[in-house]
Amino acid sequence: MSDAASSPMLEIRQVTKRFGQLSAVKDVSLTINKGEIFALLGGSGCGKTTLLRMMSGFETPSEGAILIDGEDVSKVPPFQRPVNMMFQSYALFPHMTVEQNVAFGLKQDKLPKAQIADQVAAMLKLVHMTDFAKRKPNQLSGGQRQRVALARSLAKKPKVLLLDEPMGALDKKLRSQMQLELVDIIESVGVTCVMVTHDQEEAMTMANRVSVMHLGEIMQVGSPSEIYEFPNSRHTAEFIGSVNIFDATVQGVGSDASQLSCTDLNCVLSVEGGVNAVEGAQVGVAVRPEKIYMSRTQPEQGDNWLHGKVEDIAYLGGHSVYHVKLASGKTVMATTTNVDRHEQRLTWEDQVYLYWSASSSVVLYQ
Amino acid sequence: MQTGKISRFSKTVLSLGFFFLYAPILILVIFSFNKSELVTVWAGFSFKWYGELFRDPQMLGAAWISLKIAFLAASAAVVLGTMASIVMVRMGNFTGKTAFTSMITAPLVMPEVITGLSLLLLFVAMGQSLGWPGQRGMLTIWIAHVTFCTAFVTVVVTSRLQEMDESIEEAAQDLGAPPWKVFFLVTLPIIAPALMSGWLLAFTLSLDDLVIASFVSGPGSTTLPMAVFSSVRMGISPQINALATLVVLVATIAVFIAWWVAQRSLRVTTKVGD
Repeated sequence: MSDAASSPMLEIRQVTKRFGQLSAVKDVSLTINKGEIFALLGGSGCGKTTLLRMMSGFETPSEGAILIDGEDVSKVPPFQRPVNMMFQSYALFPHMTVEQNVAFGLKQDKLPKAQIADQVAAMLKLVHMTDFAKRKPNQLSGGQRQRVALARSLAKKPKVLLLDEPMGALDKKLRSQMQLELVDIIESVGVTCVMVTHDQEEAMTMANRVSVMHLGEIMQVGSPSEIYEFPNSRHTAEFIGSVNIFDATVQGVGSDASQLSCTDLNCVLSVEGGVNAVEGAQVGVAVRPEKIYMSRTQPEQGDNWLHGKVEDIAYLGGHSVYHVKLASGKTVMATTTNVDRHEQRLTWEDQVYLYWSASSSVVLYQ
Repeated sequence: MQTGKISRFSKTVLSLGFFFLYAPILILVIFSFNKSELVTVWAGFSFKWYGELFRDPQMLGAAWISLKIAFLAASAAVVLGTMASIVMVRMGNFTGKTAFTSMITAPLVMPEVITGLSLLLLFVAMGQSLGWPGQRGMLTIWIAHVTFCTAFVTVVVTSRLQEMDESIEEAAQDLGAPPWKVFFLVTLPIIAPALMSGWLLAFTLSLDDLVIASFVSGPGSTTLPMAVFSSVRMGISPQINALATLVVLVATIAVFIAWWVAQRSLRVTTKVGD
């Protein structure tokens, strides 16, 4: 949905938020398009929740501006913003029924009764909660409460829907089911959505675009596959999925392939394409474990292979993660898919060769 | 302790404890139905002293005054206590917050004699310099009771407010309700059980108070505890037993209602949080 035709719905312009001496959000700029599901991903204390609270109006930016649909809302209080939020704890009103919870926002707009009733019925139908309209929140399960919270935050047809750790209060099994269902509902309504999460899987499952935050700054913005396959920093590469990073020095830069001498491994690695650094510069070379092949015999390719001993195996059912210790002492992770049940798999203490193609590795400059 | 079985020692201690606490009250209740003029000699069952009590204009007048003061003091204390709690729990950190918090709860630990005496001195000084309150009576007792009842209500309401998930209030704001509306539509209904038990607590405390009321009362404003105390000084009459039994009954009902309300609200809110 991030095609050129779409126009921006939410703009964050050089926003900084300081709490006393501490900057929770540092000079962040973002543009979120109409109809997009956008995820702010980061560990705890990275500033993602503060940024979300500035969008909803519970915090005001120390510097910069927030624009919704072209209008500066930086100073607008939360109850006047065309934005609704689904809270992590769902924050349902315990003294009201499901129906009254969903109607609350509409009543604040002083809409006629019949219109409110219609909208509430439509919302409850959307989230499949029509049969529970007269129940109180304490008579619902976790998943049902989430549906009610979603219906309540969609009822006013907000321009932007904010989700704060949407799956935080659910158990793992329910999570993967609700992730897809939530996306279906949000896409059927067509609302622009910003979510905050610390769970990379959740962000990648649900969002069209993900921004990785660290220490109040945005490290990288892109589609889930862009962020996974082409991380632009060590932090992003390590935060999303698992990765092997080798320290290296740029040796030869070519247009088809470049050579980097690796101090960790005492060998030369080659990567596809040119490198944006002069010879002698220090960089990192990242290779994802699933892109590394393993074999007992020496690979035919001339470079990008290593030799070591299997030190540890994590059998995870669908795939196994091998920790291979190299002669230099460094441990490299490699995964294999367990396709065959009776396959003679590599085991502890086995001598193995690890190899990957030059196009599988990514050069990291910071 | 082993599961299921209670040792004989624990049972004995428990019964002794209960006996110590409740035997006097039980004896009082039994002797309120005594026919005899003498408090300690049993002479048969009768409602005589209850009848006598309800024909005693002095006691009835004092009871009426006490009930009026207790009702008005509890109501005012709930309003002030709730306001204080909200300032303490929801307004964030402000200069003098610690001082404010400790001052509002100080009457909890202040000896009643000191509270009573200081209020008396204040009223006298105000009467001399401002001409108000001109005379001590129900008004001054009410003011005195509000001051210490507010402290109790504040403690009850504060703990409830602290338990309450603040994001519920934020959600109401997010959905378009300005702060004052959030308070009346969301916060107040959720903390209502605490206000109720705070009110009942204040009501019983005010009804029960003898020391402070004695300091700040004036002619024609004798409260029930004062009337009882002065009549007891002339010798205990079985009529007082009947009165005390009624007070025990009212207090028990009030405590039971407060407990029931608190239990019910606990069920509603804890399930939402989990």
